[in-house]
Amino acid sequence: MLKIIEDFSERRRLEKSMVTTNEALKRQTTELQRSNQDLEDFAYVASHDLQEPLRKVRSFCELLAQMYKGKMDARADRFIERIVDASDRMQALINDLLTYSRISRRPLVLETVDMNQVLLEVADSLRNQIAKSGAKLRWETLPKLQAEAFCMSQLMQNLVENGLKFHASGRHPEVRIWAGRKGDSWEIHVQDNGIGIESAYFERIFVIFQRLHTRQEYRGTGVGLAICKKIVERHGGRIWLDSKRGEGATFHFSIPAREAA
Amino acid sequence: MILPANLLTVLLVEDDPADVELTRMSLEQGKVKLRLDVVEDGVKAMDYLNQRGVYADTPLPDLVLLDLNLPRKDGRQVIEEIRASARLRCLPIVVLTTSSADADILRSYSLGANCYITKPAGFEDLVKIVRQIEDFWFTIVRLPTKARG
Repeated sequence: MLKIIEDFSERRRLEKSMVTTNEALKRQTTELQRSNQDLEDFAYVASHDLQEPLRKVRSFCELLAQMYKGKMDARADRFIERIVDASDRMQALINDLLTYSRISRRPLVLETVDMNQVLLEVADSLRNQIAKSGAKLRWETLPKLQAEAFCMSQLMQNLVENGLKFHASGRHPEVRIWAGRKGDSWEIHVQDNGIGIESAYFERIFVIFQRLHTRQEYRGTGVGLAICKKIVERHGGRIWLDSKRGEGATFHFSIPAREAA
Repeated sequence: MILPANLLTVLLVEDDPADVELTRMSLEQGKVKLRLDVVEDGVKAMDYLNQRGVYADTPLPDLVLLDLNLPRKDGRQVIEEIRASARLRCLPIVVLTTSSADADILRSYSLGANCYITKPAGFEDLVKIVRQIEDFWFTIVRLPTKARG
């Protein structure tokens, strides 16, 4: 009898401590969510306000070049070019950072997004690049997803652009896109015939500001794939890739197949 | 300096001296010879347009280039007051601002701005935009004959 009572009180003690732990966890989660939100708000405001002085640096530098280029020595001209180049890069970084922080600034509102339409728009916005590099961009019939339209455009734009950008010398870039249903999700695949990626870097490439190449080899800010990951995870999906160095890469992402609201 | 009476005048409402200089330089590279008057806040803009105080003898400009975020009285309120005034109502207002926020764009148009332009990232792009503004407002469109004075 005594044993039972002891067990019972032990159980109550455990239950009580579990409730306390749960509450602490809940509190911590709320705090974490808030600090995350603060950080994203900060990134948004900072990148927005950073554009202002940058626009001036760039504008006056262009004015300087326009009025005094060739009137100073060659070194001065080169310095001006360096400043313009650096402000271009900073502008690109700020734009990407803004896009990155904008993704989760609003609650997720799903709508029906026709991925074929998204691809048409992506192809249109990249038409100069495609024409210049002699690239081929092909896609099979894609599904309609329950997603955020601007997110899907951004996602496909980044993946296709990457596929075109990291092309191997000696062959025209080819990007192929297809989709399939797997369980409760749609999977979309974006395959290129470019330089490929060593498996050691499969995780790292999705981390913001991580780059595998010098700017001289391939331009870029290192934000593109981080944006893709954030978009996919925001929709409850996953992004991953297969690749071998020198043999192209295939990026896959999944988006839960939800019923239209 | 004596300016010909029929010289087109642009009123620039802008509080940032660097932006004033950039706009002035870009107008100088335009095709149309213009007179540029500058005021740095919304209160002065309304004094200028309503010919109050030091602006008693200033005729109406042909176009207003308006920044939105200004000290004392902001650009949105300036649009509102221009459109509420029988004398100023027809004045073309071109919003030229750093903001690309949907809310600012919508607000400006619904208050009666004629067009909304986000300041470009560099000077050469600004020159292009200013040329287009000149082209459109001073050579393509027809505006009502101004009631001078």
